[in-house]
Amino acid sequence: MGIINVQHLSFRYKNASQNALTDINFSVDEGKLTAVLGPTNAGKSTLCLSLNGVVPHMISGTMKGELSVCGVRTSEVNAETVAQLTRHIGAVFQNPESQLFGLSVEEDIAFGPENLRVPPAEITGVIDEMLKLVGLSEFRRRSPYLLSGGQKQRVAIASAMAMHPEVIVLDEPVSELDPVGKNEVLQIVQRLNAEGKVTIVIADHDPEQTLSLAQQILILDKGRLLAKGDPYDVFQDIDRLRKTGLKIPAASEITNWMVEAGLSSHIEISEESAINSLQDLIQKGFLSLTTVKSKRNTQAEPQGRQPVIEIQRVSFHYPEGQNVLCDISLDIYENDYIGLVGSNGSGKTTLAKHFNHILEATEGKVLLNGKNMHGMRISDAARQVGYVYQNPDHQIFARTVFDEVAFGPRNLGYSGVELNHIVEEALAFVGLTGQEAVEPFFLGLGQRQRLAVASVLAMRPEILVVDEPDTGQDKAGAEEMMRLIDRLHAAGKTIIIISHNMELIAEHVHRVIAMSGGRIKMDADTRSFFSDSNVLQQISLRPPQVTRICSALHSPETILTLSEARSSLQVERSNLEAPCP
Amino acid sequence: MPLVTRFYIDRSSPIHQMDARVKLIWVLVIFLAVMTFNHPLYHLAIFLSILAAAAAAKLPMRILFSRVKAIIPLGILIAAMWAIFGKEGVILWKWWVFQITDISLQYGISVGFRVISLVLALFVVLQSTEQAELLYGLIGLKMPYNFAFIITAIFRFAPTISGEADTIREAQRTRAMDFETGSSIERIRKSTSFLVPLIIRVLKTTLELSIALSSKAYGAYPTRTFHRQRPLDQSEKILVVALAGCELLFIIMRFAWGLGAVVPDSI
Repeated sequence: MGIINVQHLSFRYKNASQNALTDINFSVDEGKLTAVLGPTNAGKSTLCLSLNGVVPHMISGTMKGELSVCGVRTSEVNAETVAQLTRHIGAVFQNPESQLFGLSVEEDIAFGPENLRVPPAEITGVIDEMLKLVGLSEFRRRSPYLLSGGQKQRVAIASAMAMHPEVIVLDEPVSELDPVGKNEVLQIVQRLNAEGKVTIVIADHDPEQTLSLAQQILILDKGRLLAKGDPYDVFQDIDRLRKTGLKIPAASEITNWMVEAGLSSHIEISEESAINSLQDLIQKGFLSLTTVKSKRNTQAEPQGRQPVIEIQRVSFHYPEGQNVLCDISLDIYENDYIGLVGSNGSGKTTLAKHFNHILEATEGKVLLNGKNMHGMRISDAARQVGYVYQNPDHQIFARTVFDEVAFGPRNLGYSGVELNHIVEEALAFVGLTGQEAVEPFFLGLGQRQRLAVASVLAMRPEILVVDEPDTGQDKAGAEEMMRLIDRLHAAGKTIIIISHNMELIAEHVHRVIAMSGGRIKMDADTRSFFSDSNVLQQISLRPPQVTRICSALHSPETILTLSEARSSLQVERSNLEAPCP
Repeated sequence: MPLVTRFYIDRSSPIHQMDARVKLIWVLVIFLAVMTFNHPLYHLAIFLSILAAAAAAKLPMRILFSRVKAIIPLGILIAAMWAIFGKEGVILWKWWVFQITDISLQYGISVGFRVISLVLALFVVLQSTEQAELLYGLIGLKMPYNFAFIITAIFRFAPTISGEADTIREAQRTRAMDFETGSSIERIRKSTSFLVPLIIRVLKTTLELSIALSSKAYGAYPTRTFHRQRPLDQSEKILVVALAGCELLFIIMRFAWGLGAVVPDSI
């Protein structure tokens, strides 16, 4: 018997037509870290919420089967006593903003123990201990609102741990964080697990981050448990996992090619072991890295193209605030495909908001198609520069898909047949034709993202800024969105993507502008950008795993994608067939 | 700037270190004192005593008055309203049905001071007390915890919701929505593009909060502990007694000895 035991667990949300979970069976041993992996809508969050009794006691539905945590069957508690389960199981959720209640970090950590009636003198000791655990002792009196995303999640972990639970469940704790934040949180999870203080269940849609931490993984697909066991063993059946839409780490993909080529007997799951295995093959002469024949274009030079946005010595600060942008000069050319990168607070979003005049420079000039934007109305800028926000729910409000897309053009004065034509064209481009009468809130996240793009495209801008196009999406959703953006670029639009996702940047954009501390740290073509490890380190970014692996193998050039890696890695058949010395 | 940082100013002062309950009792005594007297000289004395407390708290007067300045026109307006309907005393100015007398002028100034002094005292406490301490103070003065928690949540999430509102407004402006022009009805119609996403975001956040609250054992038991709860120390106890004594003295001065009132029949 494990500390968590789940037998034949099924759950269907009230009024849903399908089960969110179907016949799930697994157990978790004390002190172990279990990763729950799967694409969007696989049932990961439902499983996490079932473990702490929120499902079905707070979110109603029909539950079948048995689930016990630390010997307590969750079916034995009720809506009034479900909160008492927190003595056994703590929880950390995806959104760092909506799980901290205190007016200071200290208050937040004390909140749970106070609710559990822990004596005040003991709580003071617990606060000290937890602040030390998550490395936030100097932030004790700071308001949670003023912390970064990673720091907020660390406080959430400290708050959950302050109740001294035997189990802690983390539901996609890093999916909304920048690379620095992700690293901070995963280091703490790793430390908690290494110290054996607590049994950990962590859900994620990106195995790369959690796979090497886990002693057990559960692969969920459409509410069913597709595979469970040791991560290494589960990943040997990689084709089965790929069919679920789960993102396969580059380390596993590359070592799988070696298995297919008969060079290796097993697939690796960690970057380090993949590099060791590949280096071994190279040393034995079975494998070599050559120049890539068909590289993706990462041309950044304008080559006769006209500048569409000219940023001339721009600085910006909020009233009574410090400079967020410092003396930025930059030209963006027509049909550029740019990735704007940097950690939170680097100034990249502030800079992007100058492109469509949402913000006006406090010093310097911004020219749009040669015209100074000073005094320009946002609606006039909107005809030329579209801005797709990170979360589509920040803009969707209309009763139908048609009205949502028609909103912008109507504001610009379009009506009648012309308006209908514009809306139809935009919906066709994003693949939402036929959904005109549907209520937008009934669409899935991916469709809402595309609707947001359509509603901006309908204003026929030549320049498009897309803020974090893959937020909250699994591999399939992110790929669909990026295919759409690639088509827009191919159709002649100028594209600027703001992203923390280095794989996305490496695979799609042609030019990277990296920001740090309100300044441009580097402006280069994508391949040159990922070649400069010093700059990447300075701005706390890491190249994609495939780039890191190929770089460790001393690839003759910077590899950006898996297809480039496949082209570069050459199996030396002649050596393979030669007799062993 | 987030709302959470608007009030509190971190200083090392005896007022900052004082228990929030004592400071809240001080505000109560100020309230009772301004209501007890209606003589401008007495109000001037109360006003100066509040400034002295602000100085003891090392609060920058410029910031303190920048917060209070919004209420000064209201104080002047109230003072004027009371002053121009004077009946008793020597007439100083008269026009149509309006007249200012020496007594109504003094009474008006006193009433104006009531508003300004009370708000000033509140800001001295707000700027010298962390919000968490303030709430602990209110709970210590027997405010029900659930009510105090709602106030905490409002302070905590106001900047979050305000940030969401800004983003939504921006997102609609980039779709050429002009919120600033048009008739009142048109502006109300336009506001749906702002309010619908905001309401949905707030509802979603509320659901996430309720789940997160349950996972923090909120409501697990009928009672809870408070880690910052501590008894008042000796000097704080003496201060509370002194404040109570002051108020008692004020009441005796006003109602037994007839001091501090230009209109004895009115509060």
